[in-house]
Amino acid sequence: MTTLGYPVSTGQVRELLRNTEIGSRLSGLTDDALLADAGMDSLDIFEVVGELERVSGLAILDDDLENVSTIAAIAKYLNERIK
Amino acid sequence: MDVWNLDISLRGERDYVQSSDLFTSLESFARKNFSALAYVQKIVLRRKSYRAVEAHFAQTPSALGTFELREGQHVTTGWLIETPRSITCRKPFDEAPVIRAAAVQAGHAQLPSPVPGYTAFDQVIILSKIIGAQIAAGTWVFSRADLDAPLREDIPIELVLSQVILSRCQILEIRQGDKAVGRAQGVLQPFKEDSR
Repeated sequence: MTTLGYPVSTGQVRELLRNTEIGSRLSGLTDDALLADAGMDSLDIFEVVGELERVSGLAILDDDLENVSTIAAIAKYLNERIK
Repeated sequence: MDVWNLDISLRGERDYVQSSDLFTSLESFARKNFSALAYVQKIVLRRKSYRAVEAHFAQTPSALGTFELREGQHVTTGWLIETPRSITCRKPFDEAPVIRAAAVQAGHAQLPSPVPGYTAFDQVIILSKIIGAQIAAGTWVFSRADLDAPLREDIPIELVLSQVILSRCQILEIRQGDKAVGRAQGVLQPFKEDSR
């Protein structure tokens, strides 16, 4: 299982997402590009959120979903929640 | 082998293809074309299918789902494609006998013995709906399974809830004979707006 260091880098987020279905579609995507541009659908969102919860121990709520829209946003969100 | 027509009937009053039929048909394909030990290692369904389904073995963007077939160390990846062909066969289907047989606790559902007339995968799906109903009211649909070993038809199924995501996605551990054999995922409908 991937473990998170602090501060969380975008590289760590990419590594973490490698375990998910969307992970294989991230290679051409910049850190600020929308994951939806890589084809992320609602099923992928569940998988990404589930992986983030497993690795971080955080509970992620619907209100937090805007924070999983890009790789950079995920790193920023995790840093804010973990610190 | 580029394309395989899956042998599917509609079940009961449903107007969509039951995930269990896709699973069973893929497993038949694997055993016929690879070996008796081949099995469906993974199946992911992103939307429902209302028409006949084909298994493709080249990446197809319009796929309703994907799957992996394992035979020893060899894994074959495939895509499930909805065709324009209508499904003309229909089979009766009633989940009630499995529901009645299940021993249910919070986040846990178990059968004392396999229920005749239902595949192990059928029983996984039905038990997952029981646990889903504990999380939230509504229609829970199967969305994914990852199996570490083939499901045995002669050993009763036990499901244990391991994670709830955003209150509408459940991850369940599948157990047989006190051993974890894989994971199933179900989501509360609608999980994709363009599901029709």
